[in-house]
Amino acid sequence: MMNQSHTKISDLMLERFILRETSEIETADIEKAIKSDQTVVQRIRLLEQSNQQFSEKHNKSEIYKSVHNLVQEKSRQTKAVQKKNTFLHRAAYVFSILLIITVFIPFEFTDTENEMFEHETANGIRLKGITPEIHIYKKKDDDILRIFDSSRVEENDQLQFRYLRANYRYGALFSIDGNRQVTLLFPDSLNASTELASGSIVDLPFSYQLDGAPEFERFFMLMAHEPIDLNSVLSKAESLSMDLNTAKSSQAAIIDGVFQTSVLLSKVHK
Amino acid sequence: MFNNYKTKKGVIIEPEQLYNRYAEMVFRRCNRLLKNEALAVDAMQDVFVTVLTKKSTLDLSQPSSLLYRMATNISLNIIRSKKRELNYWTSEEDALLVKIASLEDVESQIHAIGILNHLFKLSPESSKTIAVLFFVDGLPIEEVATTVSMSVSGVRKRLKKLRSVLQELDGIK
Repeated sequence: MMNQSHTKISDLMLERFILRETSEIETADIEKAIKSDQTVVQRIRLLEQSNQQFSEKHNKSEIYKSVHNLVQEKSRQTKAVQKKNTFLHRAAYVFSILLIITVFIPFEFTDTENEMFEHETANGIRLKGITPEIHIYKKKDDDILRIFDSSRVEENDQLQFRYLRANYRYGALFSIDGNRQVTLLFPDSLNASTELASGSIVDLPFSYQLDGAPEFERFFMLMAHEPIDLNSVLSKAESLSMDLNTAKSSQAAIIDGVFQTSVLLSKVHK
Repeated sequence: MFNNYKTKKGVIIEPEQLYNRYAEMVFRRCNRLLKNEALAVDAMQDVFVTVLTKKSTLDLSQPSSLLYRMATNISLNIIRSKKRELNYWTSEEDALLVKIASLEDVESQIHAIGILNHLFKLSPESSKTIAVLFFVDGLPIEEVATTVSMSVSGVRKRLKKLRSVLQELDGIK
């Protein structure tokens, strides 16, 4: 196995240096090395020359165009697969319903034992009992922990959200933090659709890193049968955030007639 | 052209800007590992296609680190698929790269990955990438950890297992 010294300034560090993305300490270390080590100067010069050569040899905007075309092609393929899957799921659903009707209905009036079975089956479906929920998970080292209302979290904790949509079709997720900041997490922007992804249990496709806001961060999930007016939601949320105690504890509806649930996380500081 | 990316609170990165800023770095990384400019340009394109396709599931708060390790990963996949054509690769480093690229799913040997890991959409960092950053590039453990967004102890655990897997492979040879 190769045995590197692991003490030199890495290529990645120098890349970040020329992109001006190094921290103050890293920058100071590199600048110190530049003064004392000619090889570092040489390596930086080579990186800059290489940037120049790349631009001379390759047409950057052409490459970007082809990247763009490939992305669009992939997106079309994904949509086609999703469409196909939706069709298959619907077909499977219809088949299941037909199967239930065929198998169970003829036995409905037969005997007590079958009545009992039917009762258990009906309970087993448990559709009526489902209410929307928001679940939050925290990544800690290599583990993932479910966290609940009043859990303690820290700056930089990485959170992932999962929701049970029950039979609601539209939703919005936002937070209010101890800096009175309101952040819309779902959908991506005010102009985006509030339609929830299909499936009864859905993971939001991004994780969320907590910043240094003090005291708390409360996450609100709203769900409705009709599209949600995000401007109205955020404007109400901003009013709510003006009083931190109310923002933490209020159970009042943000929007009337819309299902609402929330999880309050307490911030602890190292 | 594409939608903007939402990363952490308030951080928005415009896709074309991302490409213009990091294309050279990504190309250089791919070329450093593949030692072939044409392959490196292909790999660079793959990196940006992946980023733009998975934009909503990636944490782009540190784009240079993310793109650097994606470039490493994609280059390793190319090395793995083309290793028979790379018979001109003769140095010790070349041999190590081919060996790392050819490791079967080391992840599964290291961790029983719980289903909840999928929730984060950030699959555990490829151990192969960690191997290249540490054994080939010679990054200190702390920098490897920062680059792959893992704890130092997490990277140490992976390296311990990787060392033994690579040594076992040496023994088999």
